[in-house]
Amino acid sequence: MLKYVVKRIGFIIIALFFVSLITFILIKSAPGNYVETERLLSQNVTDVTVPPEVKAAWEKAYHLDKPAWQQFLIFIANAARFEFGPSFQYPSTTIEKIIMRTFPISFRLAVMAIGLALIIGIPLGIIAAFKKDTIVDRIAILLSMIGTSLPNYVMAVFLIYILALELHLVPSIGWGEPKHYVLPVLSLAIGPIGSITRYMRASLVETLNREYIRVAWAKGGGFREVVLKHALRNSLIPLITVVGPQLAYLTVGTVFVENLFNIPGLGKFYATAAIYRDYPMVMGTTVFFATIVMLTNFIVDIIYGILDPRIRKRSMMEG
Amino acid sequence: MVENYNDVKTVNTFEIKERSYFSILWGRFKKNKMAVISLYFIIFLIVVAIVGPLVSPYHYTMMDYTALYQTPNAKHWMGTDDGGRDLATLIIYGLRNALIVGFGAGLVEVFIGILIGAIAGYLGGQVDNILMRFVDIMFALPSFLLNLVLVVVLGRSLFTILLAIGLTSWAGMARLVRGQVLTVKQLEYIEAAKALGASNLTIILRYVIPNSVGPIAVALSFNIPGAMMMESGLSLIGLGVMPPMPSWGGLIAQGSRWMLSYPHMVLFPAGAFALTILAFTFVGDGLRDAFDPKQSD
Repeated sequence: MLKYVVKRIGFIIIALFFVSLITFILIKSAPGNYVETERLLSQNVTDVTVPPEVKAAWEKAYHLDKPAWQQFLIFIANAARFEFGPSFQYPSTTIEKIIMRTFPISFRLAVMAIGLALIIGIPLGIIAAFKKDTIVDRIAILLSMIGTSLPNYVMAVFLIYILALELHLVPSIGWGEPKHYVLPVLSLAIGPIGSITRYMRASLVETLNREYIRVAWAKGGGFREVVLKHALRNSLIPLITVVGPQLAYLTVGTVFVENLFNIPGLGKFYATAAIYRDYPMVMGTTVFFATIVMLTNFIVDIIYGILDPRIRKRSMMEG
Repeated sequence: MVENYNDVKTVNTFEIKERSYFSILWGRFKKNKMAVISLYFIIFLIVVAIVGPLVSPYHYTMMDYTALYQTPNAKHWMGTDDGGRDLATLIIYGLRNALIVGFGAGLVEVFIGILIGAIAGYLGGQVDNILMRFVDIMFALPSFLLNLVLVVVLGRSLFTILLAIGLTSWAGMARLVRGQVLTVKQLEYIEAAKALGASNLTIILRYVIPNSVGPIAVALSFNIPGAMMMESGLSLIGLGVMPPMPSWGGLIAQGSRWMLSYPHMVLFPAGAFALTILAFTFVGDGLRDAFDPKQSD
């Protein structure tokens, strides 16, 4: 187990190094210069020459006066301590402070969406499995297929239209009150609801045909006894392999929903930074998101291994 | 006697009448009604994307300040937007761009995927090891992140977006091709081809890749709508093709700002987008069933 953990952490560190390197090389080869673009945009001037002292001071502040390899090493050394320095757009604060302020919003959205997806998806999957090949099952399958195929921002549009504009149940815009969470969380949850329903249905249909379940029925066990105690238990553990990647994906996937609903999460800041070519912010956030996604997947695998000894054996976590 | 002989012969030719691989596939594909309808719908979309811009009396840059925010009517079938542009025309151009990016990125992805997968699987050893670790890294990372960085670096034309999406989504394809290569490599006729002196390249191009067409086609049919969603997503957050060139994601973002008063501005592009994505998904399901009847549930 320990060997497996060390190996995985090693992979994550190497992967993050390569991600930083690729991002860094790409950004270094990008055209444009923030000082000049900013001047061009804010002062509407065609002459974009900046006084050399200003440019020098600015380059010094962002270590741009040093050779590229030194800049990269500085970035790596700082990133390892979760320090990304100031961004171009927000020179008075640091990127890590922006992340600390905005990421919890994105993460909360993702976690709430996954929670909701579990609450809706598991019962829906169970119902579909019991009503296999009936109209209820067909509808559940079709809905889960639509949910998993369509991107969350398209879902968001339809949800705003139905719930806010037609039924007037929730406000379509605004941020800060609990009711403003309803639409974004619902739009984010529909994809995971689809995959959880589909998984639960397939898993239960298979389990319900097993002999030990038939024995349990034959022994006179009721729904609670057979399904909740025996059948579900075997389906819920692998569910984590469905939910884990979804959670990892959602922490990044909130970008679209945050932009659509104007939610001040990290995704919104990330997109804005990319539009304004705020390179330190793009670089820092990319590496941060990559870390979060890889850590989530890693933690999920570990939990799965702890819960299911067969997986532990197979994935060489032991020995 | 002679008559009998003839009879037997006719029966035999009837029974062993050879069906081409394609007709077998089509036979299996046809069983999935949704997939067939979706396939016709996609063909219809491609025709619309080609013919639409030619016959439409409007252009995506044509503003008409006497016809702002119009709801669907005889002159503007899907109404107009906040600049008085014809929404149907915008959606058709958006469709054209989505199809170009979807199929283009798919091509890039297949090309890189086959290249890396075939080299890794066929050569094996240290080359395989290094390439596959690289694929692991690409796979562990959400492609959206690198995509965004690439778009910022390469610029925001249709071609660079297509390239960026292709460059970030080939990891799954490479794994798939490598797996196929490893399976095919062990087959006897490959040994025979080697014994006859066929070069590595010939073996890969003549035997390995044709054997992998099925899985590649299935993966591609799911990745094309994936690329379309990525393109629209980038447009939605303001990083897609440069306006005024329309993109479905951009139309959705723009329309959602006017949703309270003019919901048609967002419902038409979102609806068209949703239908297109679903059609590709259904065709993908049908293809998967056709290529691998055992796997379908």
